[in-house]
Amino acid sequence: MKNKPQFNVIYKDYAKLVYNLSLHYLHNTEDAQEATQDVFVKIYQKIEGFNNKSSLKTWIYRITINHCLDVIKSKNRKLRVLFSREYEDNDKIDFDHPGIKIETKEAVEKIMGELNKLPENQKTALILKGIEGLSQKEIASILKIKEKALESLLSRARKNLKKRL
Amino acid sequence: MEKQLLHKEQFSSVEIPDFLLDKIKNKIEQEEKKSSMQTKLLLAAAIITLFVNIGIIGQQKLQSNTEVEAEFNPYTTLNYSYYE
Repeated sequence: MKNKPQFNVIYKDYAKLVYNLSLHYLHNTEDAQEATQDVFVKIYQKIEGFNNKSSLKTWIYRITINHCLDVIKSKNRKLRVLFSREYEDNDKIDFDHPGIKIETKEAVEKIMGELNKLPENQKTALILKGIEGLSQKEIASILKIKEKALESLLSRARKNLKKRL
Repeated sequence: MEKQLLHKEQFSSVEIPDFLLDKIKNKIEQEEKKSSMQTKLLLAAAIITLFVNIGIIGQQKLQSNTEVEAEFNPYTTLNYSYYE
């Protein structure tokens, strides 16, 4: 394994971020652990090509988000094939998020279930803003959009989520 | 809505399991082995293709030479004089 010392530092600094973000998208420990492994393999393979156009944190956020969205897509595809019918995305999510506080578990589970049915960019904007607590500037940089566009994306996402609840 | 229903305080940060780093390192090593094996296989396939192509071209050349030799050439038989 080349770049071992550098990789260990990155892992120490960002493993928790990647794991928790994966949990917010995938909602269960097993999938989140698998996703964390895959994300760090990607980081290891691509770190040499990383240019400092964005911060390392932003770059890692992007890799994690893209990977989790791919996992969700592939899961939904498998479910559609299995049930050979129009399958509503994440109709039955295997919900086992250890980070949700017990007193709000039921309500949050419901919100997360509805959040999953939103379009990808709306879901991501809400996760980064509401759960990760990132600033508008950071989210705009991760999503590669302008802050104004993010504002309208967030407002659309909130409206959609409100409608679903 | 999201401000009321979905906020950071509803979530506590989850600690990452200790075994995950070893699993990641194993996965990286496996990926490296796989990619080096793929490179070797590609190289071997390229060499085999090259030799096969050389063989085909060689055979075609040989065949065309034989065809040229077998063709009837009327001038080669005119090795006598009419005025003898």
